[in-house]
Amino acid sequence: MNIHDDDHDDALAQRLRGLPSERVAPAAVWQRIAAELEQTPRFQQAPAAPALNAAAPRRMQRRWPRYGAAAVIVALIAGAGVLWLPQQPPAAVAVEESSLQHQANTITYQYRQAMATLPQQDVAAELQPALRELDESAGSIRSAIAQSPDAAFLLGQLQRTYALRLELTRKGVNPTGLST
Amino acid sequence: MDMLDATVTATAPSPPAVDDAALARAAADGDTRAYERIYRRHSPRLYALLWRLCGGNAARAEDVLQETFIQAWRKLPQFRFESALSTWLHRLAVNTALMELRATTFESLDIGESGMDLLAEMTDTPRCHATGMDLERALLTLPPRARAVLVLHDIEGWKHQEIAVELQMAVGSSKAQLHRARSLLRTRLGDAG
Repeated sequence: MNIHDDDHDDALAQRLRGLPSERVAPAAVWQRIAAELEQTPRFQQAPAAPALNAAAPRRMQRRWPRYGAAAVIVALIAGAGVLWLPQQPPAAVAVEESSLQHQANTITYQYRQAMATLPQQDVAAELQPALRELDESAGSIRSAIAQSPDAAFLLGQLQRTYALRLELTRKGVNPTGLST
Repeated sequence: MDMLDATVTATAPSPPAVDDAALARAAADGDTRAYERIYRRHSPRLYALLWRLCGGNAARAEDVLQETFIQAWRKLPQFRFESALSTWLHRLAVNTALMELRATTFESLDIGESGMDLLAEMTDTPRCHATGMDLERALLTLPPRARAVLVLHDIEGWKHQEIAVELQMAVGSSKAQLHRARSLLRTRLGDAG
């Protein structure tokens, strides 16, 4: 880096420091936090399943409508008619499994059921690298959930990844595009 | 100088009637009203930071902000006042945001037009009427990792050593990412002009 670059960097850094330092979050954020505080234990000990399970659905509810892609996964899964299949979802397993992991397992189960309805051997070859990448992403996110069972936002990541995987697979199977 | 004297888009704050330490102690004892005051006082600064780290994706930034304050509520009883509450919250927010960044690998995807359409919908970059809009917009277009280094170093004043620890990278990588981010930013600002 030469002096000329340094001058540019200084000028740029000065402009960056001049960007607004505050931004007001929507009021709903505090409302959601306040609701969580009612249910949130103060220490990060392994909580009893019923307590966390009581809080978890509310967080899920607020996420579904806010992510367009999450809505896609709901639509696709519901459209495929695979919800509430009488097989055993990963529900009643693993006593020490965290609430987040439980939700992740449920989403993964539903995603796999939805994928099973799609003829994947017919997916266009040019999409395969992207699909593999998404599969790896989903795996990474699930590992992160296992390591950080309090990081609820990872659930949104997982939903978006599965939604994108489903959408791309669907478009790859039917290039004319079935989805909206 | 109060840190809130810096460039501010929200309502100018009045001097806090109750200091952070007193609020933090009350909140640690379970006082949610005190905790709400902490939130009101510190969330605008944190949200601005998170909004940038999340590439202008408001939904993600809100999620991370929410997660930060829920974690802080849990951890407050262990807060030892060895640093300012604002510093502690700032660290917690960055750490939470970067966990998401580390879990996100969309940056490297090459998924064609249909996938890109979906990703574009997810990005949902909101409009902003603040000054410096071109710079802000260009900042949001940077790759996540380079953007994080730039935001933390050039806006938040972190050292490369600190960034390297948080982002789990070598100090040299942090410097390289900063150089990359600045170059990209200058290029994009030039293109925009």
